[in-house]
Amino acid sequence: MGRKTSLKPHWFQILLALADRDQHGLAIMKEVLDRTGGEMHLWPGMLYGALKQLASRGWVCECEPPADAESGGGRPRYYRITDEGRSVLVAEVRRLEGYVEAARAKLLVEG
Amino acid sequence: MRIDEDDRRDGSSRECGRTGALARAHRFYAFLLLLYPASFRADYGLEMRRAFGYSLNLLQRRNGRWGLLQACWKAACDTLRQAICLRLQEADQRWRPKPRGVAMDILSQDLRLGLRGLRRSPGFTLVVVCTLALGIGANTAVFSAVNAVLLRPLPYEQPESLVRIWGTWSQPENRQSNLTDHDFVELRRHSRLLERVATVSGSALPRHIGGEDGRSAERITSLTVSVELLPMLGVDPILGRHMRADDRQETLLLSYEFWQRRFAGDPEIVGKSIVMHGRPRNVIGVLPPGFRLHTQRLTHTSVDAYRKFSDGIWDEPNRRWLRNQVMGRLKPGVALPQLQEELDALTARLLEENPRRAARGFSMKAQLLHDEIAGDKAPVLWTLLGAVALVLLIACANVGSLLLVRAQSRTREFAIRSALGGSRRRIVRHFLAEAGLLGAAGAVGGLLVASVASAWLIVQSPQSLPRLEEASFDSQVLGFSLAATLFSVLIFGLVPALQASRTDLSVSLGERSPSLGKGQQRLRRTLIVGELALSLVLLAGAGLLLRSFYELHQVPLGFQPGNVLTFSVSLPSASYSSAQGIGSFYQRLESRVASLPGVESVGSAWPRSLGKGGFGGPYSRHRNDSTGEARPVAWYQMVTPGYFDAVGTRLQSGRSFRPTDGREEIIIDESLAAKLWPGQDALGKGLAVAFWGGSQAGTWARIIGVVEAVPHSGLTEEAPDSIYLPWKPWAWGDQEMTVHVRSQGDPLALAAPIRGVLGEMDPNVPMSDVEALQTHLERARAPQRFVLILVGAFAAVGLALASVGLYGLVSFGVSRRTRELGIRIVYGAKAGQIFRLVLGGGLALAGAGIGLGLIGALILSRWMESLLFKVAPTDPLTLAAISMLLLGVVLLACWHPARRASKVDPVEAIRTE
Repeated sequence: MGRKTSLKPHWFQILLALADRDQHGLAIMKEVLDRTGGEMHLWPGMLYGALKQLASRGWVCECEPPADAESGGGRPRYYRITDEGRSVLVAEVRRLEGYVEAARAKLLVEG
Repeated sequence: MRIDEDDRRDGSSRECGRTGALARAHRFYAFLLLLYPASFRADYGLEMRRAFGYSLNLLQRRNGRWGLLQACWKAACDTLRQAICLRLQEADQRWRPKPRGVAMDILSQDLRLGLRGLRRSPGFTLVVVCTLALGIGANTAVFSAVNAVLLRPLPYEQPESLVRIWGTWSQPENRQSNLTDHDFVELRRHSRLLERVATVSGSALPRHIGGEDGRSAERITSLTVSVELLPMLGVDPILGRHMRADDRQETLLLSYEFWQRRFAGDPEIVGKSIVMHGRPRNVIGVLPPGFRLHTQRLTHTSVDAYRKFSDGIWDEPNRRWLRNQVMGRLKPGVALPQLQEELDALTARLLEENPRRAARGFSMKAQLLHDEIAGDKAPVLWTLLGAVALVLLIACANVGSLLLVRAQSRTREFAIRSALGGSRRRIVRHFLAEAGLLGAAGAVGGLLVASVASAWLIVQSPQSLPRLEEASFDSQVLGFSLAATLFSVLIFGLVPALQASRTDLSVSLGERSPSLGKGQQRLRRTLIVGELALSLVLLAGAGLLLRSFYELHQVPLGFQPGNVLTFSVSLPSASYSSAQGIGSFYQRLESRVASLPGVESVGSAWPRSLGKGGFGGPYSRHRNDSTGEARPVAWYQMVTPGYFDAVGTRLQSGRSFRPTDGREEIIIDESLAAKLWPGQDALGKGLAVAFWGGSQAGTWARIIGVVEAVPHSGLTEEAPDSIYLPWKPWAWGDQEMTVHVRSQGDPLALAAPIRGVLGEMDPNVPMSDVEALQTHLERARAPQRFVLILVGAFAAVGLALASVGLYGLVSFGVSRRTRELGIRIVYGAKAGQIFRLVLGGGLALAGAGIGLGLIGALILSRWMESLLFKVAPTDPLTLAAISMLLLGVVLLACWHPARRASKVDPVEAIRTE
């Protein structure tokens, strides 16, 4: 999408968490915690602040909860990645890939 | 997989109940959420709390209690960061639609710059944030107590129209009392201004329940209330119904807590019967959770069951019994003075019926229920709040002084910024942003401090502070803490900001090393003098309280509290109905306890000394007192023969009671003997004792002994004239006695064997209120100790802050004057002279601080007069001692910088400049 600057790390993780399924906030937090081995703990303010901003940029949107989700009062909101969000994510992955390629090439040559 | 597992754990820990620390952490986070914009909170608040709960459990599992703190700290940082960003965005959108983002950019730039600056000097930041957190936290905690006890309305419907009605007596001394059944009935019948009149009759009494379904007996607390009481307070049962006028007396309303505890919340409880005091009682309802009846006497009693009151106006003993705590609800639009007029008219009618009362100056007085409950506790709390506010002021002065120095060390930076076109406004804003960040961090830390401190306060507070357990961080407390923070930020932030922005460019850029300008130096000195003065005020308060406490320990007790165990026993009237049976039970109990190993002596009394309910009654020197004059009042206590030995009250003359003594024998205390027969021997003389009922004149009794005076009604009050009577069982109501056992070793070690003895005698008679007499005594001293500890702690913190501030000022002065000192030494000044010069500077400040502080202390300590005991608020000894203490601390704080100054190497000093 022509993005040159890097995505904030926690935005990247949130988009990544939503890449394969719709999730609610707490589930995103758990997935990121799991994936990063506890390195990245998205505290509530950071998480929901980011979700709000991602939504205002049109990269994620709120969606209906999946059929198997628990029902009743206080049901959490579910989020879905939009097409635009997906392309931002893909662009970021490419960018990171580029760095990894470069690093690999260097290590091969010098190592 | 792992997520599911976590989910389950999360859920199960939620079910386990968020008790204690966990619940506090959740509350803390709920308050943090208030920092977010309302719209954001409404959208995400619930989910954020869940997410926090998950993180909390995670960290707690990993790191235990430390994890909880960690989670709170992280969440606070996270909240602070995000909330500020969101609020800025919101403000930006609201106020400056165009050009978009500029204001926010500048603000966030200010904040970023500030943050960066603070991060660069972590030591400074830490000191400032901790100082502020301590100040704000302590203030918030004390305010939460003030709020709960004094400010928050009572938890009843329209609490502002609830009143309490007292009887007052002017003869033989001014005193206040409850009302008789007859007074209550008359008031209920004739009052036109009260919508409803209700009574709480008698005190909360221990009752036995048990027997149903073969369950063990339990002692519960029950209270007799009139039918109108609960509807008047606007409290409806959650199960069943209210009491009704046509109900029989055996109906019972249960408290929610008791219903849960004893009956596991049985939904079918209504209509069942409970055996209470040997008689079946019919449960008609359950009251809502958390309901408490607040009156001065009941405030720390949790009542398990409410019984229906029926007036005993046809019953002679009850007719005269001042047992009713009468309350009422004013009709809309009626003010207290109007009600008082009505009460006066009613009093006049009651007095016509009973001229004896007229002689004793009886009248009725109305008071708002809220005022009655808060009672005389207001001075304590306002004193504490005042003291803690002084601590905050000292903290602010200290932080302000630190910021001044910091600003000064950055003068060049700001001069350059000005030279490059930075406006004065921008520089002030930069400072304010920094101060705001410090303040915000201090506030968050303060909330943490407050949540710990407030829990501590609730645990430590003496039982006499009503409703303190309701203390919580509601919006008022939070608002107060926010106001305290803003106030501090303004005080310590604005002054340095204005000072720094006034920098003279040429001077600042030309100077080689930073120094404070004359004005700033003066400002800093003023701040330190202020701090010292405030510390002195605090120290004076603490000193006066300490002296009071010392005086309190000097009160002659008239008994030896060491090594005495006390406990209460009460016999259910259903199984112990004859006076003989009751008498023999207590005799057997005493003799069996006396034969236990390690027991020196045993004796019992009713009512107990220094307890909640006293028993005052009239007496007369005349055998047939028909003068109609008011008779003097004495404190009556019934005791068994071993009592004086057991508690260690010394016999001055005569003998102690014997089992054969009857109503015609009494023992009096030395103060009564000296009052009635000064210089004579009281033994063998007689008194008419109105204790046993019977004729108006009372029973004529012979004095067989005189004992030491005991301050029965409280340590701060003068020992009342006391009359001791030989204990005789009576055959109505419950038979409660407090047994005192003097042991050779640790008194509490006797509790288990005594419980065994009691269990063998009758397993249905429980032993309650088991404690050492020393503990009971300490409880009587607790209110004074509580205030002393708090004010003492505040004074210590204030003194520490002020002396650190002074130390900083003096050492900064020395380093600034290094060159000057060097030149003085070159011109022949001796080390001693330099030392005295520096020390003298510090002492001059101390002198000014002490002078101002003494004036402040003389003015302010009047407010705490009611908290002092046998010490004048202007006690010169205390004030002098406190001034010396402060002077000593100032000397210590200046010593090191002064020594450093006297050791300046002149060559080095002049070269470095």
